[in-house]
Amino acid sequence: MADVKHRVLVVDDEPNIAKIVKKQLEVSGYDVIVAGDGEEALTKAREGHPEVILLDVMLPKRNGYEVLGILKQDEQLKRIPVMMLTARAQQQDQQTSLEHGADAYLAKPFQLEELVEQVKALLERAGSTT
Amino acid sequence: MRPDKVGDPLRLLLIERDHGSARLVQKFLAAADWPWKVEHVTTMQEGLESLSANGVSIVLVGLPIPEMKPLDPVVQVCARVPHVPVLALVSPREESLGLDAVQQGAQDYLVRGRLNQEMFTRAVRYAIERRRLLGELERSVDSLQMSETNLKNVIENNADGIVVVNPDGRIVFVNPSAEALLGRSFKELLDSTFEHPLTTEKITEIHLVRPDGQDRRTVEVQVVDTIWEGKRASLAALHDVTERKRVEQMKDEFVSTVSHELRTPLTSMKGVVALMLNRALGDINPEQEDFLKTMRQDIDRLAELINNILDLSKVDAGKMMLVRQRVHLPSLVEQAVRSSQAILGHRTIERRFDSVPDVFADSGRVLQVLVNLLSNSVKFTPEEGGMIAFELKLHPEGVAITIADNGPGIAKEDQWRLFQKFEQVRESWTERPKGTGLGLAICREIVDLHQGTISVQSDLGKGTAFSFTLPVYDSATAFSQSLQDMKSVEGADQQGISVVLVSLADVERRLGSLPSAKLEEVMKEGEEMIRKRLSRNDRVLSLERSLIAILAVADVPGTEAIQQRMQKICEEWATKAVGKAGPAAIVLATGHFPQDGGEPEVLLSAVRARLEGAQHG
Repeated sequence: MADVKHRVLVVDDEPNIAKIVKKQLEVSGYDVIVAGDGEEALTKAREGHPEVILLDVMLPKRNGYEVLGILKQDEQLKRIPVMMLTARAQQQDQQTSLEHGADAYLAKPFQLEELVEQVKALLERAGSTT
Repeated sequence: MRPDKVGDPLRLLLIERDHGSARLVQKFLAAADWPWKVEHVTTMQEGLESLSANGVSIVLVGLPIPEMKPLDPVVQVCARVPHVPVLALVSPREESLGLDAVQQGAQDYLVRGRLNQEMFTRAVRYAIERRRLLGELERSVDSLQMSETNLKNVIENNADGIVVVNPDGRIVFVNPSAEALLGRSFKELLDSTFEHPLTTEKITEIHLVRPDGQDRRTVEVQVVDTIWEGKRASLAALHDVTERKRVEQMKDEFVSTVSHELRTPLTSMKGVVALMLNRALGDINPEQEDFLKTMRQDIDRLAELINNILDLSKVDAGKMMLVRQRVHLPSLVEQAVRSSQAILGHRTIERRFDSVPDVFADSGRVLQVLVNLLSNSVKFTPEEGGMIAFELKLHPEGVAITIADNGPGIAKEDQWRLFQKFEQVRESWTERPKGTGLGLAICREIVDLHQGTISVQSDLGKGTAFSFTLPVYDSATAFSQSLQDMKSVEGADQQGISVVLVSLADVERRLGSLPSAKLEEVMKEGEEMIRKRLSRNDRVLSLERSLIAILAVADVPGTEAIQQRMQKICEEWATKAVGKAGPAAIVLATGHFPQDGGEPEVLLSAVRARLEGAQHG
């Protein structure tokens, strides 16, 4: 992992949270790009070549499920693992995430350590199938 | 023997032209066994005047009276004094006139020239008595009519709709409120089918849309058995709760918005602290680390408070849903201890576990109870010499879990308050309360939802022990209970519920050479892996060793998709677990509620049969 940094796209409309997640992932050895709304998320997913996408559900312009739906129908992008960041109170979100084709979900508020673990696991799984 | 004439005299008004008859009447009454006062007049006008002047007990009208129609005198007297008995006096040649008089309201008639003492006094007495009885009858009919009117008013003006349905399901009565709610008139509804469930067991909620599609109402229906026209019937009371539901929904939305707004900054604060503690922002010295940990603790406390308030509002709204499955209590206790490590300090944790069966419970919620009780014990136990013991014991109601401490104990008079919301038990009023006073109330609600009981045993100076019970896991009950629980999950009423059975028997067979404890561990890992790949609302139940049932809200095509996904996941896992001894076959079968059976037993045996078929085919 030391030779090639994996790139993670973090999509969250809360700049403070995006900033913290970005920092933690960078310290853990990842290259991080950030998007603040659904449209930007799609643009960065197409142009930024991320290997994992962390996607918040509540987003301006297009919500997380819409973005997820578009990603999973795109021949180029559907192989990128997506982890949804859902609100703990909305249990329905977790079900909906999986139904929309998410590869994992993480309930907010999450521990940064757990987030890093999950990203690592998603990359390993994606690596083993390709 | 003739009784003494005592008491107030009765008054008789005699309207009679024939003085002979009049004298006879006076003679008879003078000889009667009751004092009489007779007033004799000869014209109708005098008679009517006399009637309006004083209270008369009985009127005797001689017919006919010149210049009047034959029956008019009777009609006029009856109209003037409707509650006074009237007797007609007729000539022998006109007896039929007497009968006509009775039809017009006279009590009886007497014939001139055939009068004798006995017959006369009896006729008078009977007339008075009959009139009295008639009066009573009229009064009771009046009062019956009055109560019927009252009842009718109560029903007609009731704000709740009332519908009576006969055993054929046809409507036999509706009140105006029900007409308004159902959007159809009494006439239209009469004999039509009542299209809503008529269960007397619980209040059901229905949605009514007027035939014109306007005005959707939410209505609670409460049904009781009744008798209608001598036959069994159902009486349904329809209570409009549209407005209340709207307010509830607004409150729910408010709570969910507020919780998001509160959590977001907390998440960010927690994240920054974590970054610093992880040295992501550079090195920190021991004192900085200590203060950052203090900050993290208080952020966690604040987060817990928000979660508790949200949980209680969920319970209040009846929206806390359990996801129950097979739970191994010793591991759950370990998990609770592990997650509370930061607050335990030097306190000793003891484990006194009897060998107990697994329970049927929501592991996340029970973990919440355990952590709550543990943190409660920690708060009231000194760090030095503090001891907290977990006990697991078989109990008539299932398994009893006890958390005992050697803290100061709680006075008997304070114990009842423990499980009440916002109540705090303090050692003294000068002491600051430690916590929100919500933790134990939530514990009680969670245990209640599991049909368990929670209690406290405490002696001042000796310590406190909280105990709660959970039902033992039994696969048949778990399956039917879970199916029942799933029905209230959003979307279940439209899509139905899919049932997927996964047999890992072949994996188990191929691993047969492993020691049994190790084998069990591997099988549990398999189950855990399935659980991880499903969402929280889906149920994963182990029916037998190596036979797992999955329940998920999905329609028939959705069921197939779940089956394919599970097949893939399980095969991946089996390849890893079995290794060289592979490949192991994973056999799956599916069913759908309600398509393949509305009763849990029927549904399960149908899917089992398919699984058998697939295993041998």
